[in-house]
Amino acid sequence: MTFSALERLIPDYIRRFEAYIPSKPDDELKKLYGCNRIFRLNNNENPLGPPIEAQRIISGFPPVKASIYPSGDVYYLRQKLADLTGLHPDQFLVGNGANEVIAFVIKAFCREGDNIITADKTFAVYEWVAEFSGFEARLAPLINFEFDDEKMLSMVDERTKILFICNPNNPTGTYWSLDKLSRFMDRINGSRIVVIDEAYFEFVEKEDFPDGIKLIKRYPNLVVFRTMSKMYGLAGLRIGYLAGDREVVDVIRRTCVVYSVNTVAQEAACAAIMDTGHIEKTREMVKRGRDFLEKELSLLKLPFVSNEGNYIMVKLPMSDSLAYRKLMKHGIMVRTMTGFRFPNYIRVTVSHMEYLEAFIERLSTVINREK
Amino acid sequence: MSQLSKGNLENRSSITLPSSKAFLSPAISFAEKTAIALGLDNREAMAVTLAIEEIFTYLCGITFENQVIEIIFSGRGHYIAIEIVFSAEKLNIRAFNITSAISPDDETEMEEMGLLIASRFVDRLRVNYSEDKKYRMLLIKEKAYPDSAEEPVPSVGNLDNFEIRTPNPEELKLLSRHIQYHYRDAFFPSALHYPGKLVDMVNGGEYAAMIASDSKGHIGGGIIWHYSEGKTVECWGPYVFDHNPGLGLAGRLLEDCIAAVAKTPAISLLNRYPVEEFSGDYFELLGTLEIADSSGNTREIPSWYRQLNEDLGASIWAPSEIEHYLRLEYDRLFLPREIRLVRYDGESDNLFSVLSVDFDRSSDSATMHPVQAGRDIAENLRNHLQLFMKESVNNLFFEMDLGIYWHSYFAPALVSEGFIPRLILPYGGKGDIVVFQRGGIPE
Repeated sequence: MTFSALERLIPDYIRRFEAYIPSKPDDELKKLYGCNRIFRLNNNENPLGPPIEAQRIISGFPPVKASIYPSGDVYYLRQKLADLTGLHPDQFLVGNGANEVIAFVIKAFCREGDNIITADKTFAVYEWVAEFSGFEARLAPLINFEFDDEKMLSMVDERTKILFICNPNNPTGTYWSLDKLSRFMDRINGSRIVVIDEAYFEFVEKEDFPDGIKLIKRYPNLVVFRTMSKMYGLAGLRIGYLAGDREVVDVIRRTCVVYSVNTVAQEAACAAIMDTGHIEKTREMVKRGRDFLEKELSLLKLPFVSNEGNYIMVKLPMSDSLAYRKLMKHGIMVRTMTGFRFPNYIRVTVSHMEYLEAFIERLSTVINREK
Repeated sequence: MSQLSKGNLENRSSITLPSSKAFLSPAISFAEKTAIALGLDNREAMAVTLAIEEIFTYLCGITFENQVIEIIFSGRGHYIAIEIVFSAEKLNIRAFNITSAISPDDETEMEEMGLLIASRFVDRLRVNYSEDKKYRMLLIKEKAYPDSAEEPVPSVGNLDNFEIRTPNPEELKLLSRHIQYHYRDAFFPSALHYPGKLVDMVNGGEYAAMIASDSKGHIGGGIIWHYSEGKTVECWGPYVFDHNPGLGLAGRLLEDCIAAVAKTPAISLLNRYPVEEFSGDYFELLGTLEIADSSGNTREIPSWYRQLNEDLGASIWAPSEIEHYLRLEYDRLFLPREIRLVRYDGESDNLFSVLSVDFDRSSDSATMHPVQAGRDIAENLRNHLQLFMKESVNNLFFEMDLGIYWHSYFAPALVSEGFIPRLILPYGGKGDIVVFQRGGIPE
């Protein structure tokens, strides 16, 4: 039996929208492309995995605890985050990955006719969530691969509710310094919510890089996103959080889905954030990998964009989606950048040296260039 | 109708009537008034009205008792689309073959004459049988536009700097005239000959354009794209009128076009009318088609393709006749595909096959699409070829959708009539589309 009323039940903004189709599991991809391994250089995951103590918690998780609901508001992790940052536990909201908290913020503040502002070439989820929720996403073009503060400010109108800044930007790795961010916040002057997405915060060592959480007291309209998926290697458990002024977070909490973060993720995250040694080890690996990639890409005469974060963007003399298929034949998985509006670019996760060497070797064949 | 259209200008009006000849008059009245309201002139509206009259009359005779016929008109800028939805106990859609011969001695076939007449009142007609056990007949009637080839084209000037942006309607018309003037020897779609049509195409939402313009308003180039059926976007250009090599206009136009479609549901971007400034660095070569002009001179037209996302792989239905070709091509294009061979095992099938044909007079070509498979495939295909010969159509194509299993049934007849697979359009339909071309001019 067909559902004939379906068409008329769909709102226009959903009709226009196409579902995001994630890539297939590794085993399926291996079958499809006829390769016997997958080197994942596509999602900016940490190949070192979670910190040791988090690994111990994951492997020792008693199966019987799976029958018990997790803490609905992620109680202990919020306590620990409060201890580490000096904020109150109620200034944190934890979600099933940072993507979920993006939806919480947009739902909390936007209503029909409102808009959000972000960049055209950045993490796509701000734009997606706004659009499939029926709100306009205004996109300011990047300038020199960086968020353009002036352009964003010029796009603000009375229906603008939220401005999203990815700092450092994914995929270009550029960032706003503390001075630049502060000037921007001063000009917004508390009139709108400003979200700073710090998914790659822990990778940045630059002195002028701002810690958004430290700015919340000065700017109560500032909301900061962090994730446990990148530096802390917990992408498979889906856990991320936001921090903000207590009154702002109280409003966002009204749209928040409780019990969405599982117990293993909560316990592993509590352990992970206490391990500073893991950050050092990962940073060292990224530095070695970045130096290697920059040198090799220069030898191949390929332009690249290498800044902060654990990724590098490379411009190819060919279609990025064709390069993806050719690399996949050899089990090397990169992220095509056409979807980020960077045609012919790929983004490569700075990972284990073995993976990067295999990538460079294959890439030189794919583009048919000798070093 | 496009699933990808970006605009929201569709004007839509529908009527649902019992399938009884007593309701013919309201059907006619609705068709006439709606066609005019959607912008057709009196002559075009009359053609549409006559088509509806013929189809409604015919459907009243073949639909179930107590059934309804829904007629939906949609204005899409440069054309109107009419969808007729109905359930039918038996529907001999053979009459929709443009070659259908009607014998005046046979009363049943006389009834079908109406369908034949209807099909010739409109520019395109397709019939589909959907999963909800309903037939959906789609009629397209295009608006007529004045040609402006002789009008003067302003000078381009020298652009020192430029921005890529969306043109206003007057700039679009200028773009059309520039293309005709600067690319008079190039191969481009006939729609670009009509500035007013280009404006309506863009306003209708299925087409989009960008221009490169300086601060004084000079237009140095442009690119146009079309959100076609399925998940394919086709682009034309980049057209460059200012050949200052330092500007890099062509590359920027291509990049901005790709970026503009990158976040739509489209999977692939095609360019089948590459101009000199087109850069293969952004695309992959799918293959070439040979286009013959009326003097018999042929030229190779390459088809360029760009996938907009990471390929997730697919299963396709294929006839054994082209299995070898498909394996070689999928390997060359690095496209992961599971090939499932289709064969006929004596199961019951339709008596008659149906083909729809899209004519493109500017390229002197006809492209056939399967509407229904049947026992008379070979004969039906031969009849079509004879008609094309009579009409002196030089370039004959057949598009087989590998996402639809029964399209494969046409392969033996195609091969025996000299059709050769020339290229694969990945994700061009429900699945990949194989474009067959008949080798040589039909004899």
